[in-house]
Amino acid sequence: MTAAEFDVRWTGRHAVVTMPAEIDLTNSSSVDSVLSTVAGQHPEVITADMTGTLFCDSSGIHALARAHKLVTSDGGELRLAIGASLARRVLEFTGLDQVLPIYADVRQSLAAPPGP
Amino acid sequence: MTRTGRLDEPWSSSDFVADPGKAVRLLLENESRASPAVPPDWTEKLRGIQSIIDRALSGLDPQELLVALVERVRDALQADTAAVLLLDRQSGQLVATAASGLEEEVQQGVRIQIGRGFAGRIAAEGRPVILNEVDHTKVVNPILLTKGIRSLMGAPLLADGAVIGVLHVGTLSPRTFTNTDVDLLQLAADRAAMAVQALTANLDRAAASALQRSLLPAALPFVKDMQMAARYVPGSGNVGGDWYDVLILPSGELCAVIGDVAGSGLRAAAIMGRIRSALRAYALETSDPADILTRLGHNMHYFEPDVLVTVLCAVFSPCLDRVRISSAGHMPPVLARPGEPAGPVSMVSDLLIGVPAERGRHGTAIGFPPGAMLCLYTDGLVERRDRPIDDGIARLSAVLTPSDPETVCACVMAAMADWSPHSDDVALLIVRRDPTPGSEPDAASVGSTA
Repeated sequence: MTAAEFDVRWTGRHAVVTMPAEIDLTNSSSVDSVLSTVAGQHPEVITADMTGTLFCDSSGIHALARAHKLVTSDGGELRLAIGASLARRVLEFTGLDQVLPIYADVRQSLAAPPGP
Repeated sequence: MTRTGRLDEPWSSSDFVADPGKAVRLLLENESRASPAVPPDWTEKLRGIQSIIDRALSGLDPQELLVALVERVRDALQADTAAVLLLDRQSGQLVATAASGLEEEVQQGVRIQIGRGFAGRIAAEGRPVILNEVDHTKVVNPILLTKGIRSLMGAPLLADGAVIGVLHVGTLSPRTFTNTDVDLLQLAADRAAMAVQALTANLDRAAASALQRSLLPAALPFVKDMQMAARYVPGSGNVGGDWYDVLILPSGELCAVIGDVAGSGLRAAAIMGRIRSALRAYALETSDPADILTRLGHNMHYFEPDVLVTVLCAVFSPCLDRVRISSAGHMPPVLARPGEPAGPVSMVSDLLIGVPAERGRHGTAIGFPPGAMLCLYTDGLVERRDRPIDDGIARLSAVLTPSDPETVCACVMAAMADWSPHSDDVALLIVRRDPTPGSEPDAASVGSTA
């Protein structure tokens, strides 16, 4: 999957990017590049929709961490919509759940106002 | 994955890397079949270039390959000079790597910024450029001036659409290069690009593997009343950024470390080496694992802000009855104590290193009675696509039966490989306190066999 194949939807300055079902070494660079492309368009918020993500290995976690650094350095915010995704525990182990706001689904993330 | 990307994965086809010579030959055959209009002598010239690449791939390094190649290209095009410059990604400069009739370029280490001069223009535009009459007021490379080059033709070395270098030829008398000349040069450049990429990838893998081996402890230290064993398995043939380390601190405490640097290949192995050295330095200053990781975090934030790494640090008290653990985003270790079921240590997992955070790091102290065993590992051991990671940790806990660590390591690797074929690399370190309560060890009994 290439960066161009990701579903990106904008609601005002809030971008929702649908994450693949599995994020691993084979596609984490595409995740990296789509998130940095969206971050380059100066969103207030990016929500990475991981509600359909069943697996996320360390390369996927690293892509999310890089995107978080990129977006926050521009004054924006990276959120995760995670539902019951199996990836949740990996986020807890890496401590990313302490810095990334986590929502049950995209609707709740869209409803929450931006900012810390 | 690393940000540098291309050097780490030069080709989408693993077959090519496995047998680049065959892939190049197939390409050549396909092209000859597809282009019946190719002049006969042209095919002959191309075969001459191909034979160089075939020979080079059987054991030469990229430097020797390119020297042979530029000589053949110079002859084939009846030029006076030929040179290859390869892109150095760090500096964004083209570096003269091989030359024929223009050896000074290589000897003097000519470097040309992309966009400047003749070679720089080819790299910037990513397409062949012909200068039938060299304008000496615009030449930036003094060697070309001194030589008195009158005409120049160059083509980019492309890999996956990205420029990795430039091949150019020159003549001492004015010459009008034809389209056929350009096509031949570009074909030679394409062959050179493939060979360089394949050879570089092989060298990168070999170097990463050698570096990784040199950084893992050759032998685990000897500590009275303590047994240890470890494993490292590269993922899918590629060395990653997993490592472990065991050291004895000046206080007599035993420090065990395991970690995972983002990315793979030479770059990840080199970063891992720097982190290992930094951790050892901080462990000389403090034996508080949370403090060691805090200092490492500051170091990385300042000097290597783009690096992401998870690390777990465990420090055993001098009398071995207690272990303090701190985790920077790493998987929790599994603890097996006599009379209790084995399971992951209940502890706070702080943020991985490389993401700025305002919160401090935590340490968790646990009792470590005789016979207790602590298992440190990287995520490649327990992750599986279709199952929660907790299932992997439970599986690992189930096979951790108290026994000597070498045997346990072998059992764990077998059981976990059976459960989940490893695609990521795996590091495993098992530390066990002798089950028979011995005499209290004193500082003098703690030493290293390394």
